Amino acid sequence: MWQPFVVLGLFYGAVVALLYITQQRDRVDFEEYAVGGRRYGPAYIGMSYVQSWFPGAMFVAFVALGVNIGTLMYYCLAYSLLGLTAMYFMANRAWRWGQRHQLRSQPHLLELRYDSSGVKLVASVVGIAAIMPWVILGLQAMAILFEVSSNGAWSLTTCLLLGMAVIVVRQYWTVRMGMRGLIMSDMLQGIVAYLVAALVCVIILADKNSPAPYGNLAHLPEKLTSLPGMEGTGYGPLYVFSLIFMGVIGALAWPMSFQRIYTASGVKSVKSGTVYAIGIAGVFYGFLTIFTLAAATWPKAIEAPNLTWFSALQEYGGVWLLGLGVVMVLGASMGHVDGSIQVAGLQIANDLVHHFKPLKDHQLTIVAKGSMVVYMAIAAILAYVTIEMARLQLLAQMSYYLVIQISVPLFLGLFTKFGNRWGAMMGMIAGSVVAIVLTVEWIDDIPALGGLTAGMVGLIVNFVTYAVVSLLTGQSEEDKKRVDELFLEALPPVKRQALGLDPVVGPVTTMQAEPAVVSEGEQP
Amino acid sequence: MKEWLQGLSGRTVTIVFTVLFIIPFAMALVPPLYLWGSSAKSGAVILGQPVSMWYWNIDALLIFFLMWALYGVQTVRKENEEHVEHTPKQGGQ
Repeated sequence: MWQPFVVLGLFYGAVVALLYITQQRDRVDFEEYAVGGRRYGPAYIGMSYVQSWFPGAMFVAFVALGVNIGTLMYYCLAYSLLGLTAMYFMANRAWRWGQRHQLRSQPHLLELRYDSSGVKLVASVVGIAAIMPWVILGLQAMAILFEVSSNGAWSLTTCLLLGMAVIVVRQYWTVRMGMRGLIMSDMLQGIVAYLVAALVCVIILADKNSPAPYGNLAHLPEKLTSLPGMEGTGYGPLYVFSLIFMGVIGALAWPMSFQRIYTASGVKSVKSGTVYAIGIAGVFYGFLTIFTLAAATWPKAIEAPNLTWFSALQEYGGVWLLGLGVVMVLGASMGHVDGSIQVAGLQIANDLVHHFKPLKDHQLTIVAKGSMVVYMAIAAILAYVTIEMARLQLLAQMSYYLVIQISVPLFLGLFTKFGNRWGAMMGMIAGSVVAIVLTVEWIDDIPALGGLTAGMVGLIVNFVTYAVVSLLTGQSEEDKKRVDELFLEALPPVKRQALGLDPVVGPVTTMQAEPAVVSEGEQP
Repeated sequence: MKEWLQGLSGRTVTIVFTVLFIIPFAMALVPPLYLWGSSAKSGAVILGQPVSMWYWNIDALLIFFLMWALYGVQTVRKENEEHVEHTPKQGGQ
């Protein structure tokens, strides 16, 4: 079965060719490397966000969820789209503060808002640590592509090593080009992974003789149309609420998703990019869910739910369509892993190393590149070592509960003037500890709390700590004035003008904004 | 229409869209609502799909159209522009 490999090779070659053609040969500074020079329009922002959000696991784990539990699969659609609305509502402050103060990461923004490098360090460490299990899972998920493509002829170790090799080679370009390479490849990978995938779902649904005809939906068994939390399901009524709420507020807690705001050319690009992202995510995941539920009663899907995507495509269109299906998963996986590694390297350089040892612009770029290489190498080794480790899923769940703790200072700091550095720091630490400890005992829901998850309990502790500590430690007049000024400078020009202020606020010059000195061609 | 939207106060626009956005948020986050939406037996089918699927499809469509409408209104009101047409007034920062 060589056909899937031909399709895989063609797609992989096209991505590398695109990166080669679009690379900048002139000198780039760290601003260009980290946030792509803040010049991308809505289509790029929208697709790039979706790539940072939907990994290849959507075609495997989430399809399996739909086959096994039915409409619960929709929870991801609801929280993905509602989470995106947060990006729209925080666009004014996040982008304008970013542009004015040359912010390059989400922890960098928290440092500005709370005037505290401690908040930045805690948020950055949490973000970098939380990304790692997902990079490992992303690399391991690549193994399944080669297993499917070889029709099970190759061993798991061989498939894992090949999958990792594909990603590692691809990383050369991410390390070399930084954010620009990411955004360019996101567009191509995203079109194939999400838009072509949605089209394939529609075609299969429309055919009465396919493994997933639309007509199947009218005859779904009751267990596939009911939600956990209903009588007899074994879950509390708050279980689905927990899943969706954590997803909504966690959407921009993930550093790689938040980072997209800083690559935009303006607030208008962030906002219209959000509308694009909602459209792309909605079309892709909506049709994938309908397709999955239509396939849920197909015997081959019941036999191997996590291979439903591949087996349905092969059944319907033969090995060439299977190859295309494999390419879609590859596109989604590569985009997600790339984005994760890029932002991890950026945060290590910008938020951690630069904090303890101030670096010049070109040194920041070198440290970011080196950090990406080391981060990727660690992830690759761990992916190989932990391939048989059943508890890795627990680690991933824990990391999700961990990263959403950033959302309390992020949301309260961007949408209100309430709170200070002590509340933000103590809240994140308390929430993280509670979430991790409870996850060890209750990885899924906590029945005694009506189905709430450990992450939700951590969030409640985080929020209460933030409020109580902020009230107890208070806010100085000087700090209140600083925060007032920050909120004023983020107002749209038309509103600033109405208040009698200069409509446009120019960038603040910082020590990092020095002349560009590094050549793209000179760096490894 | 354009003039009418531009003439509305910022507060009115905020209130209207806040109320509208509460609908999809509530559909996804209020347990009695989503449990009700999923409680129809498998026999309840509209246009070939169970009611419980339509519930989530409609929630997704609402989010998209509300976001698109808000962006449109803010664009007409020039709230998404980085520049203004008139000479800047002095004062403030």
